[in-house]
Amino acid sequence: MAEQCSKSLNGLLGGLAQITYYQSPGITEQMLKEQLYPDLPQQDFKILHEKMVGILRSIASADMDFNQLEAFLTAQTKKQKGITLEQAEVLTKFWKTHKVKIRESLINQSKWENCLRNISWRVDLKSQSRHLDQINTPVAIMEFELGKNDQESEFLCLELEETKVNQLLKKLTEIEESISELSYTN
Amino acid sequence: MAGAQLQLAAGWAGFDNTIESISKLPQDLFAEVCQQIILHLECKTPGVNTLELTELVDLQWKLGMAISSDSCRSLNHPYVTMMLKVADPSGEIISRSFEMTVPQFRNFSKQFREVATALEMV
Repeated sequence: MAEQCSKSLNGLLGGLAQITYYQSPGITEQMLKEQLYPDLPQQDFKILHEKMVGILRSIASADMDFNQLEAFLTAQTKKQKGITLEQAEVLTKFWKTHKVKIRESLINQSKWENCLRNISWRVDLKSQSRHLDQINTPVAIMEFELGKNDQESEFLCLELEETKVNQLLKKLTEIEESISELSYTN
Repeated sequence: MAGAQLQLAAGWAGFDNTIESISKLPQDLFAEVCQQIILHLECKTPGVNTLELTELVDLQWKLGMAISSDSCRSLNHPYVTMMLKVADPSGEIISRSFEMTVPQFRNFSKQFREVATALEMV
């Protein structure tokens, strides 16, 4: 009986994550009730659903580590109309499994700029042309695939000579140094 | 007739020079280039539309930290934003910006270094 309750709760949390964080289409609150808690009165399910949504939101919003999670869930078990110890256990297991993926999803949800979807490149060798002396000049051609949310990609095709690539490498090194400083101060 | 012959001669001189340049390529590189050309002619590799080829004019960057958002109070997420300014064949300057996570930036950096290495080896 307890095992069935845990299974159902785990299913409910998974369904809530699909709706809120993974944006899976086609999953609804009603579906979750029918599949996981068919015998539970509608009002009771609503209360359970709201409680779990609230708890999951708090945990995800704070990106809780496991110490914080334990303290938080313990407090919830002591509250009136809080959660049971079994439910706390299910929530802990759930967060262990889904923490990283939910965090990634939250980061993506707050990203509104273009992102770099793909980068491809090749190196060409410019041979001599009639008007210009370009004997054996190596040149890089890079294609940047940019896009945001569900929009179609935009492709930017760049031609870069060796000196330009080296200049850019210097900039990339500056960025790497800044990132290291950031990690150090954090 | 003589004029056309002169033009043809000048054309052939350019051709000879190209042949000379190609003959200076190392054997293995020449073989690889031929393979790539054949693949391209068989429509097995994507070509580059040279009308869309742009020249990089400037690259600006910033390193930011997203502290929190409406859906997450504890985001604490560093990200790199880049702004590319490129000149299209007509000379018009186009700006595009994009955001990367730190792992994405590291991958980007790694690919750039591969490009630099490939350029050196030619």
